[in-house]
Amino acid sequence: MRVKSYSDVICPFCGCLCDDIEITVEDNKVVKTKNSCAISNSKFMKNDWGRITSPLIDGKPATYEKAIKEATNILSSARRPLIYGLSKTDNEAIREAVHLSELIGGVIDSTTTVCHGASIIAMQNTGVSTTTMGEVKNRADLIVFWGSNPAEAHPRHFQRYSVTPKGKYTPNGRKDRFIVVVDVRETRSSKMADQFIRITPNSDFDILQALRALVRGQKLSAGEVGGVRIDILEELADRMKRAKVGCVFYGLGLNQSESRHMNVDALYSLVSDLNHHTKFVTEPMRGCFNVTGANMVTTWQTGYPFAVDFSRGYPRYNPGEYTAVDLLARKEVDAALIMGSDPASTFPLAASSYLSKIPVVTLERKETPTSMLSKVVIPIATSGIETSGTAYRMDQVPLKLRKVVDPPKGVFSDAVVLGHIIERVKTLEVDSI
Amino acid sequence: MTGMIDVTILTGRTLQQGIGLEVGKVSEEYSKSVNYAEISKSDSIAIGFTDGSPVEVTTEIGKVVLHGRISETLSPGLIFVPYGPWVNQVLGPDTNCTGTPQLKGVRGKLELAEGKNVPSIHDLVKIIRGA
Repeated sequence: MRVKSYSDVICPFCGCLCDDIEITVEDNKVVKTKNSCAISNSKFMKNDWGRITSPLIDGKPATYEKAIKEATNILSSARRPLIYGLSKTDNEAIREAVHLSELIGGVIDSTTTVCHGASIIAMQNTGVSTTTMGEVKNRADLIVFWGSNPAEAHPRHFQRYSVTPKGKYTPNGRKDRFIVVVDVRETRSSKMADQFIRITPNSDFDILQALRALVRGQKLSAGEVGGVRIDILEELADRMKRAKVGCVFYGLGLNQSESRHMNVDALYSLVSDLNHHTKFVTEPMRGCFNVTGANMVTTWQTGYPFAVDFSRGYPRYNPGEYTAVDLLARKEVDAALIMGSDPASTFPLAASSYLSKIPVVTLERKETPTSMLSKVVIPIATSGIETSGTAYRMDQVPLKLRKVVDPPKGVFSDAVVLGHIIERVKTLEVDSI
Repeated sequence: MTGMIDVTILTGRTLQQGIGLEVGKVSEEYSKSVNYAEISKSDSIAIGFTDGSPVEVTTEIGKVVLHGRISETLSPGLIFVPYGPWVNQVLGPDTNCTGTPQLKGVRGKLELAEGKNVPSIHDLVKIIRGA
C-alpha cells in the first residue's frame, strides 16, 4: 500500500480556495481530509464516485480520437457556437477555451452569467471599493453579510477570513467584530450574527437607497422601508459610519432578485458614500472555485469579463445579448461546448431545453443532466485534485492548485482536451485553404 | 382547510446541496438535497399540509412537484427551494438584459399535490428534452 500525505492543499470547491487542507492518499485514492468543510470533504472523498471513464458519442463508448474528431466537426461547422461554463476548471483551461472561441468565431460565457454577472455590470457602472481577505481579517471591525449565507455556501469563510480569526488590528477575533446579516429569511449565518435584519424580498434597492440617504444625514419620513423600521436603519447607518473598517460581503440575494445589477449599484454607491466617513469595502461572495478566474482570464484575453462574442473576428461584449441563458432561450446558437458547469441543471427550463435541440460537446467528470443531453461527452480530470494549475480566490488573489492523485487512465485535463480540439480545428482550417 | 395560496419563491444554496452535488448529480444524496420546498408553519396550516407530503409549486412558467418540509423560521408567504433542476422548472429565462434570470423573489402559487410524484432527475431530463 502506498500512502502519501499532502499539506497546504487548496480546496477546489468554492471561491474561498481554503489553502490549508491536509490530504491523505492511499493507492491513488483520497482516504482522509483534515481542515476541510463538509462540502470540501465530499469533493475529495467522493472524487472517484460515478466517474465517466470513456468518451461517449450519442451515449455510446467511443475512442478518445473519435470523440475529439466529432467534437471538432460539431464546433467548426457551427455558424454560431457557444462555449459556456469555465468556472470549475483552472486558468490554463480557460485560456484555451478563449483561444478556441476566437478560432471558431463563437460566443464565450461563464457561470458568472447566472451568479455575479450583475455585480460586474454594476462594477463597470459605478466602480467599487474592494479589498483582499487579508485586509478584512486584519482590520475590519464591522462585517455585513447581505443576501449571502456563507455558513452553507462558503462554510469556512467565517473561520478563515471574516468572523473569528485573530488579525493584526483585531487581536481578539470574534470579540473585535460586530456582525450584521441582512436577508429575507433566517439562516445558519443569521443565527451567529450580532444583529439579523429581516427584509422583504425584492426590497434591497429601496433599503440600500434609504441607507444612503441616512448616511448623508437626511431624515426620512417613512416609518419603514422594505419591512425594516427606520430606527433600525438609522442605527445601522450610524454603526457603518463609526466602524474603523467595514466590509459588506454580498451574495446572490442582490443579483438574482428583481432589479439585479441596480441592487449592486446601490450597494456600491452606499460603500462609496461611506468612504467619506471611514474606510469601507465590499466583496462579492463568489461560488464556484474559479469563477473569478473565468472573469480574470477572459478579461486578459479579450478585454471583457464574460459574454464575449467573436463572430465578427474580434471580441464584442454585451450582457443580455451574448449571455448564455439569453442565447439559448432565444435559440440563437447552433452548437455548444460545455465545460466546468452543468447548465441543464442550473438554467431555467426554457434555456436548458434548447441544449437538447442542438449538438452539445461536454467536458465532464461525472454524469449530469447536461452530459445526458450531449452528443459528445469527453471525460476530464478533476481540476485541483488530479491536475495542478492556477485559480483566483474570490478576492482576485491567484493561487496554485495542487495535484494529489492521478486521473483515471486515458483521462486528461480540460486544458489538454481543449488543446487537442484546437490542434484539429487548425488542421481543418489549413485543409480548407 | 385546503387550497392554493400565493407565495414568493426563494432559492439558494444549502450545505447538503453542496455535499450532494460533489457526490454526483445522479446520486440520491443530490436529489434529496434539492427536491423539496420549505414552507412556513402558518402556510402549511392554510393548505392542510402535513410534513413530508408532496406539494406543487406553480408559476406563470410551469409547475413542479416537490417534497414539502415545514420550516419553523420562514415568514408566511415565502417558500424556499434549493437551487437545482427541480426549481428551474418554474423559473423564467428573462434576464432583463443582464444575463441573469430572476431566481429569487419569484411569485407563484402553492398547493397540496396529493397522489402526485416528485420527479426523479431522469424524469426531469425527459421533461427538458420534450420542452
